[in-house]
Amino acid sequence: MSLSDVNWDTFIPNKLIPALQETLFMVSMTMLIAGLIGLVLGALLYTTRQGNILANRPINIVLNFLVNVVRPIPFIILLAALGPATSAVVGTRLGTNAAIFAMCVGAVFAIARIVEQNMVSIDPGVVEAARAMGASKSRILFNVMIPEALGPLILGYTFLVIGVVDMSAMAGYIGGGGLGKLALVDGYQRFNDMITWTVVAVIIVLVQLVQLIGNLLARKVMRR
Amino acid sequence: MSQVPQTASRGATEMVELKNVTKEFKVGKNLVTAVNDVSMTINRGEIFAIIGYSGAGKSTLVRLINGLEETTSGNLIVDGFEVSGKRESQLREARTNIGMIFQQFNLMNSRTVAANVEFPLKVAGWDKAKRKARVAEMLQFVGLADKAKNYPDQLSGGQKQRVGIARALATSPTLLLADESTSALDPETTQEVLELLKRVNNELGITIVVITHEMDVVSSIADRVAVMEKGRVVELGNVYDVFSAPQTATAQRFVATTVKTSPTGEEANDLKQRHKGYLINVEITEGNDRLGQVLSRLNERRVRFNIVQGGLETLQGKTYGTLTLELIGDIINIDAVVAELQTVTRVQVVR
Repeated sequence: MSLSDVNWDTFIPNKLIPALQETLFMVSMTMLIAGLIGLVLGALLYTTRQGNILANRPINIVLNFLVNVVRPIPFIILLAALGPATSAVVGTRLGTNAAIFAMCVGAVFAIARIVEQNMVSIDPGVVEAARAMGASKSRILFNVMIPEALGPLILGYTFLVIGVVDMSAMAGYIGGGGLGKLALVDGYQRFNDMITWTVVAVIIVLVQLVQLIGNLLARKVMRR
Repeated sequence: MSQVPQTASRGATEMVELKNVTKEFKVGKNLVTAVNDVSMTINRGEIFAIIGYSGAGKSTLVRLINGLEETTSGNLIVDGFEVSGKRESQLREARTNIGMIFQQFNLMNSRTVAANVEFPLKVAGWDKAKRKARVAEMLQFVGLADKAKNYPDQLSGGQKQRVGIARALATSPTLLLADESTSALDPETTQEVLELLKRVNNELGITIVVITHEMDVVSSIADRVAVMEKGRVVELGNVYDVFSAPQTATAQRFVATTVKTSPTGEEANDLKQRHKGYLINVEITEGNDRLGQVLSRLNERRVRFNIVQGGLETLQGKTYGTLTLELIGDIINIDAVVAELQTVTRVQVVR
């Protein structure tokens, strides 16, 4: 039996499926938590700009600084650096929940920036019209700005899901589980290229599916 | 033109009052005065036009009326409510009483036509049944009942502006602000939208402030007009009075966009090349029949005349314009003719 031999009958149900489930869990939890916080931060980044509905220079500067500091840190280093914070919040530095925490921190600032950039495309005239009707700031944000930017936002989130799948693979290093750990431990470290490439193929299919769903949703929202 | 409406006429005759209103913007380190010490009154039930070139401050002025821009100094009162000096949150209720339409329509592309018209009603806190009924009524009024479920990007420019009008009027405001509302439309659609604005004024008794750089818009719907230049109102009055006898260069140039006025420069030289007689320009005004009488007796003075250029326009049911005449005869006789013409109208020698 060569190193690259795989017993598919046991590998698929015992290794691949659980790993896929773990990845899906980590990615969806991260997208849910970081997605919501990132939406709020991104909306604040946009609306606190000069001349916008919540214009506030100090808040805008602080938010921009935070995003610019965290985003360039390579995720693998962020994982290690977050160690103390992770154990304080989650209770442990290892495992899936620890990975989700680190992924949320890493993703939230990227999401904030993507949200902000997609909201820039909102026609200021539409916001002005809503103001002219006497709409409150929160109504303008939730009932005008976000719906108007929804199509691009969906595409932005789709882009981020793929980035988060990438993060989840690295989380394998801290015992995060999932496809990343499978490829690393069973594939790379045991010189079993077949497993590595199988996992890569699964990730490619996953990413393709996410992109397809994102495109469909965005097209439905934008009716194009 | 518009009558004083029975339904909306409450309180004073003033709908909008501006007293020494000034608006300054900071552009980098410079202070730009967009609106400079403007005082005027817009009456209840009229269509009031503000005309000027881009950068004249008219769009800023109209945004001061509903508080989208804050006044720097002066007082601005709309329907008895002081808008100037108020914060955004204090203006919300007043704004449901002021509709606004825009050059680029500013409809929400993520919502259907019906949902766009419904939005201000939600803002104003109407309950669902009342909202539905009002949306149907407004779409009927603008002739788009069959487009209720369409999205704005499925409509033509004229249809979009009609949705804009339905949306602006949904909450039954007493005042409608129209900011270059036909500037993005072709001439035919422009007429459609202007007709609709006239109906809004006549049938619903809503006061309308129209911002435009197009003379046609003013001449087809407005009762009174203010001419703006560099942040100031330089002429104000009945449309006929202002445009039949424009005082400022700006107003004269606007008049020249619709009727041929006294020829100058190249045009005058060209006319003189082609016509060797003595060229004069006579002003035509409504009800002046004495000019015709003088012209019909030119034979007696041994002077012939040709009409070589001219333009007449009807404004508010009254004619105005100019004709350029070529007078042929002895110079002494021509002088006498010019002197007589000067007793009946304004005469200018073409130089």
